[in-house]
Formats: sequence, C-alpha cells, structure tokens
Amino acid sequence: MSGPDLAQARRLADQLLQPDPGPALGTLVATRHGGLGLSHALHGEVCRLVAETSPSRQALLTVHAMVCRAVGRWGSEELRDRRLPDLATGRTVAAFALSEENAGSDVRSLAIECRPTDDGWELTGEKQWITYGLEADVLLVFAGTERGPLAALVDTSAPGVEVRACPRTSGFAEARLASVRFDRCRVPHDQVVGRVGSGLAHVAADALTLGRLSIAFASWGLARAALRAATQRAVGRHQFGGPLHERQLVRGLLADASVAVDAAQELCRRAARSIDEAGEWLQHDVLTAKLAASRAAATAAATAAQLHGAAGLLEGSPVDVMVRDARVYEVIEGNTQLLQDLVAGQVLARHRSGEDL
Amino acid sequence: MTAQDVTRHGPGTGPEEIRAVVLRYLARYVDDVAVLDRERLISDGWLDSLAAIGLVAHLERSFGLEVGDEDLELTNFDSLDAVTALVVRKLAG
Repeated sequence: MSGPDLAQARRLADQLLQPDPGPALGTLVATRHGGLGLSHALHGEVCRLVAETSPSRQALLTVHAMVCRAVGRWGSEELRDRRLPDLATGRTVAAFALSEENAGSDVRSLAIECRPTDDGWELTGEKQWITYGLEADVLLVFAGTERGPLAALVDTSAPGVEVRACPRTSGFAEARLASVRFDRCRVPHDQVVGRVGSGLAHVAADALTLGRLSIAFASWGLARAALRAATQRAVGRHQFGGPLHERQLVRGLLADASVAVDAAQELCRRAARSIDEAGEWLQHDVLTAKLAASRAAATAAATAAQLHGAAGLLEGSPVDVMVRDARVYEVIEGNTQLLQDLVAGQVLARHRSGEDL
Repeated sequence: MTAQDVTRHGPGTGPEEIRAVVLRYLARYVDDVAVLDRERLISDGWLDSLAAIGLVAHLERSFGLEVGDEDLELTNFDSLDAVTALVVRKLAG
C-alpha cells in the first residue's frame, strides 16, 4: 500500500469516525454514480483503520458498502441511477436485513412472508440483528417467495415498517442494532434488486463476500489495536521488581498475538487483491482472510485483557470492549465453524481442479 | 485456469469446448462427475450459492463475457447443458 493511498485511507477513516460520515461511505461506489470508486484493497484499509478505533462504527461501513454493492452489481439501471448517488454520498444510510429469529447461517430457512401483489410484493414478518438498523434510511431485505429468493430495498419510512432497538449486545454495543417488523409492507417491483426466483441467492452471496472482506480487515484492525494495548501494558506495568515484558510467559503471549496480526495483514491484503483482479480463487482467499483475521482479533484481544489483569475485567474498559467486539467477528458474516466448513470446501475444490495448493 | 487458457476461449469457441470448460469448473464441487450429467445442479443442492456465483465469475473470466442479472434464471444454471447453452448464446449474441 503506497503512502498516498494510506493517507487517503486515513482521511476517509477520520471522516467515518465523525457523526456524519457523508461521502466517505461511498468507498466502492462507482464514480459515475457519485462514489469514490476505490479498489477493494483501499476500502479494506479504511475498514481496518476505523476498526482500530471503533469496531462498532466500522460496522456501518460494512453494511452500507454491502447494500451499495448489491444495488450496483445487480440492480436495474433505473434503480442504480435513482438510489446510488444518495447512497454514495451518505445522504441515504443503508443496512442489511437478512437474519431472522430462526434463520441465521441457514438463509434458506427465511420465514418472512412475501406475497405477490399487482405491482410488486407485500412483506409481513420480522428481521433481527440489523447492524445500524436504528440509523438506516433504507434496508436491503431478503425473503423467500414462491418463485425463489427475493432481495429488495425497503425505506424505513415506508408504511408498515417499524424499527425497534435490539436488546443491548455485549459486543458491537454501539452498532445501533435494530429489529424491524414489517406489517403488510408494500414493495414495488422497481425496488427489487436482482432477478426474483433465479434460485441462485446470488445477491446475498455476493454481498456477503464483500461483507467478509470488510470484516476481515476490521478484525485485523482490532487485532492491531489490541496488540498495541498489550505491548503498552507489558512495558508500563511492573511486578516482581520489573516490567511484565521481562517475563517469558508474557513474551510468549506477545509473540503469538504478533504472529496472528501479521498473518491477518497478509491474508487480508491478498484477499482484497484477489477481488480487485477477479482472481480464480477469490472466494477461498476471502474466506481464509475472514477466518484467520477474526481469530487473530480474538487472540490479540484476549492477550491484551489478560495482561491488564483485574483492570481488564472492568466492564467497559478499553480491553474489555476489545474482547467483546472480537467475539462478534467470530459470529457475523459467517461464524468460525461455518467458515471452516466453507474453506474446507474450497480446499477440496482446488484439489479436484488439479491445482497444486 | 491460466492467462493462456483465457485467451484460448472467446467468440468462435465451439459448444464442445465450452462444455468442457463448464464441466471442469463444476467438477470441483463433486466427487463423481457423472452426477453432473444427470442431476439438477442447483435445485438438487449440488452447487451452493457461493459455488454458483463462482461459476458466474468463472464464465465471465473464461469467455470474456458479461453475465447480467437477466441471465440469472434458474433454468440457465440448473444443468451442464443449460450452462453450456447460455454461454453459446452469449458468445453468439
């Protein structure tokens, strides 16, 4: 990553940490639609830098970028022209409404009711765990229909939409999580993203790939911040007549956390390059980066908290928040066990393809 | 797939060759390639959504074509013959 690119990423990260991030939300939106048209590599660095300060805040960029991606890649030309300029400049804030009470990793079990009408669809049911749902102007809602999966933009101001705060979660506590209840909410055809009934679930799968890349970079950012906190503590805290860093077991913790952080960095950057270059194995690279980086965040956050001793147990202390946020990264956009399953699928695919791993 | 492979395929590529490229991709996801001739790929769960969007990207890369939303009908992707026919149509069109 070149100096000017990193400087741009830092400027954008600073804007995203402001109450009104504005055009910094348009990282990946094409310039012809008013976005910044950044590479995935640069978008990733922005994710990483924001998460070093606030994983909760970084989550806004993840979900907003996923919706922009879905509209930009699969939306009709009319829909793109109508919605992307406001999404690109942050005048409209978007969130991703996939999860339900009984549908998490298994998105084929979506239960929200979606009936055809003369001019579109009618939604009734509830979506949960919508990151930044409390701030969103528009939601990308996923449902199953008799013709197959549907993805559609639903404005939170539309009749029949009720947004409520979720119970406070231990991690992502500031990520403005919402539940949304739909009661015979009308969705006109021109708000639908992608073909209904293709059976491919391509809109969700494609957006989740970007989500996983974004979370991977964010995890790396959190891991970096945690390693920094652990190292500062190892230098500043004195016990038994010397700093903690002189004790071998502490040095072991620091070394393992550092190796995990460095590995996350390389895997994240490889995955971003792979998407930018439309690499043959980009899914493998993205899944691997997300799995490794979320684990690195957990490792580094646990080390930072452990070295802080009782101070690390204080609810709401910086290292306590890191531990809680790192747990979120092992759950969202595919939990660790689901990702292991998917990575193994890619390993087998590569083996069957005859390509040497 | 190497850079040389990509340049080998393109407009003018015959159905047999197209079918072979598609088959090579799909074979990554099954132990027994025989199922690819007789089973419905998506309806019967042989390809999950990641493999399906991977297939779309692979077709775009291998044949230098653009798969649009209008192409993403289930009937275009549910069998080896259907995917081959889609590519033949796209290259001709």
